[in-house]
Amino acid sequence: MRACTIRGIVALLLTMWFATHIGEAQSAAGSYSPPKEVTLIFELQDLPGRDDPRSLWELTYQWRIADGRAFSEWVSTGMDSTKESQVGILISKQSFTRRDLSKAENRQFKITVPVAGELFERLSESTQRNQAIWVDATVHIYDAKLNRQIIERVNPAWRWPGFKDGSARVVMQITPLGSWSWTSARPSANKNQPTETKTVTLPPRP
Amino acid sequence: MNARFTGLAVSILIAAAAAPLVAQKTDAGGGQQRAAKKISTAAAPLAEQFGERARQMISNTADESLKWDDRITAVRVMSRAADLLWVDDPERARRWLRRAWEVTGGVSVADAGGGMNRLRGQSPRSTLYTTVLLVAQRHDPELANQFIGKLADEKEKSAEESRRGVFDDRTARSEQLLNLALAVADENPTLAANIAEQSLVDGISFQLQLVLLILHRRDPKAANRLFDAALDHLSTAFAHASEGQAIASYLFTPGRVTGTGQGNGTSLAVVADGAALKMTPAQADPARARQFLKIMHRVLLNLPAPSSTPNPTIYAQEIATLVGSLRGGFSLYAPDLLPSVEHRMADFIPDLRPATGASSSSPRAENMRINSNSNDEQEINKLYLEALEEAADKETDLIARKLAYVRVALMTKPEDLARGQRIATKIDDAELRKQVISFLIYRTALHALEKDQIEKAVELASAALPLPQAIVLITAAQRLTGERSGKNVSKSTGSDLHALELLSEAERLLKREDKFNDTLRVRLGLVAALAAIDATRALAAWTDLIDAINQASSFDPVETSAPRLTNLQGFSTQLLLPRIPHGYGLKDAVTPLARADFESSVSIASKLTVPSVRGLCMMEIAQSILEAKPEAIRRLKTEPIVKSRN
Repeated sequence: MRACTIRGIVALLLTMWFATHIGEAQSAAGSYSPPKEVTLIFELQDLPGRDDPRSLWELTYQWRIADGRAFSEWVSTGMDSTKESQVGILISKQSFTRRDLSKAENRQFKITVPVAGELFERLSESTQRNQAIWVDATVHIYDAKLNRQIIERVNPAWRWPGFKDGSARVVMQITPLGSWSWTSARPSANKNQPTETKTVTLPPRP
Repeated sequence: MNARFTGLAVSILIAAAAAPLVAQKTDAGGGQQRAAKKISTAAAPLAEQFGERARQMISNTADESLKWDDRITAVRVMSRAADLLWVDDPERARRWLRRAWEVTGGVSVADAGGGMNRLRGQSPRSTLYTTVLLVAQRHDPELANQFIGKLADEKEKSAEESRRGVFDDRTARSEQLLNLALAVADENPTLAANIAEQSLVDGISFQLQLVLLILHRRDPKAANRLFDAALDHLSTAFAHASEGQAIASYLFTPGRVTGTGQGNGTSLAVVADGAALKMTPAQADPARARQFLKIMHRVLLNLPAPSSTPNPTIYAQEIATLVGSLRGGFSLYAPDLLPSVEHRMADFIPDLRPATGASSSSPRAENMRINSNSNDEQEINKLYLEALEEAADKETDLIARKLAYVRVALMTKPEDLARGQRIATKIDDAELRKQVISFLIYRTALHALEKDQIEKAVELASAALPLPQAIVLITAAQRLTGERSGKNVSKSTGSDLHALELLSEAERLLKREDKFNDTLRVRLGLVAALAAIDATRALAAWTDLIDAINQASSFDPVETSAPRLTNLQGFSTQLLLPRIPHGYGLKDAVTPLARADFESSVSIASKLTVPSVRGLCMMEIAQSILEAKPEAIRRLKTEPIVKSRN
């Protein structure tokens, strides 16, 4: 029940955030030529067990684009994973495993996809037809120093102005005390846009 | 290891269950009244002697606390000293309390070593104000009023506290009044209602709904009186949409409220610790719900147009969110008023961001989901899990499949351990599989403890759980068994030698895990458990623990809950683990120790190197003596039973 409630709340937050911002895309509309390719970068900024060879970072993701309303509807009904493949189109889907995390190159994973076909059409028409671009990833980090397995869902979403240059970055880290956080890069088009999906927690009673 | 822990568990349970029988045997024979009188007479000089020592310790510690760098602990110590010694010396107690109030004024977020809640900006200063106020309210309500009066002047919060949370209370004064009301609501609902009513001078604050909820459960008349006072305020001085939302939340969705973020227009929903009510306050009293809706109807119809406000978009969003919270209530309790409200809202649409219509429907969808039949929800969850498992079975990407199984296993209900374990066995990664299964067992055991199923929890602890988790479960089970028997501390009996042996082994093994500060709390829980069986061994363990605390990078002397010991963190699993709120703090360890051997406890505690930790520990020891029953004092050793090891 509690899991369900939290899932519902996260869904509610995402819906509301996206819904309240999607309109800005319309107001910012104008002529737009999509970039030749789109890029997604996952970056593991730091972790306490970075220099421990037993530490591991692996991630599986799907990267999708859909009409804003279709995306909002999917989010508002609880982001049902079993129906995600029916929302919009797939841009990319992959998994990777990285070890030897002391090397910076092993803490970054870059995906580049040529803009063609339906992706080209959707991005070209995004000034008239709002598009939601989102990543649904599950990340697994084993931090050997903390002896802790961290498995979290990472699911940033961007609207058109925030994705105008065709690149997105998702940065994650584990602090020295073991707390986990991730952020999606702040889009330059709107500084006020939230950069992170946040779970609402309980206000403690005094 | 498993066999050992099974034996340990059984021995501890036997020992704890036997404790009351031993006590009863001691009392049997002569008449109970005669025995009690004899004990009381014999204990009187000792009680006086130890009581005087304890008071002196408290007094010295409170005076010393002014020199500490740790101002938060200093305020707590001074407040507690004032509380404990008020009867002996009210003037001195008042001085401590006034000093504590002054020191609190200088406490910052940095003192607490961390950030504030993003949603409710309750600062460490606010918490400490409440601590001081509670003592003042208990002994000298006039002094409490003076303190609150000072808060009324605190119009501007410091820069660090100016990051207002969406669900902050209206003013510092109303926040403290409602904190006070919450603190006394269970034991004195009338007083709580009176205090909360005073907060209405500053408007209706977020926490009012929590006070109303507790009062609704404890004293419906007091709740209704406070509710009516809040309605009076709404009808005459409505100032902000959040005021209507706090009351709407209480009536229609107890414990849940939506709000509009100030910075970016993001709407949020908060789950507060609302009571699990069989029916909402609105269902219980439809007439009052309608009365509220009539007032809100009038307020909404008379609202100024967004264009006449400084920030039309935010204002329009706030009102749209409020109306979204009220729409369900209007439909049920005042359907005749809804059309005119909807009509009025049409005036706000041009100022709303274009897609806000979708956002206003989301809270309704959420409420429908929350209020849906729980059996339906269970069935939906079951089907959803089945669909996810099937999707994982079909996944061809090995990493994706592995992580999908982890997710589905963690999504199972704690009560359905077998299902979770079955799914987890499909995880194609031995270490990860082991961690997930271990987590599922620990989670189920904690749920069993929460439901008072002690034997089941102990049985699970004896399964393949890592040592700290097993210790947490067993020590918690031991304490619960003692509480269930109505007796917490027993003397050692011959039957629990095996338990002692194993607890000692566990203690030795735990020492190896010093690298995590969390383990310190497990060891405190272990000392508390040992103290219930063998004080001498517990004191030895306590001596070793002092060294570990001195070497630790950080130690919270106030925290009493069991640490959330899992090596697995994922999908909010940590948040979903039941908490064991007591039994793992400094207080839990030193209280039974001090009552068993006061001198040794003081001597060992004096080796703590951080002044505030040492001071708080002395405070706990002294308080445990002051609050002990005469029989416990009679058993106190006048000479230390453990010689200090240097």
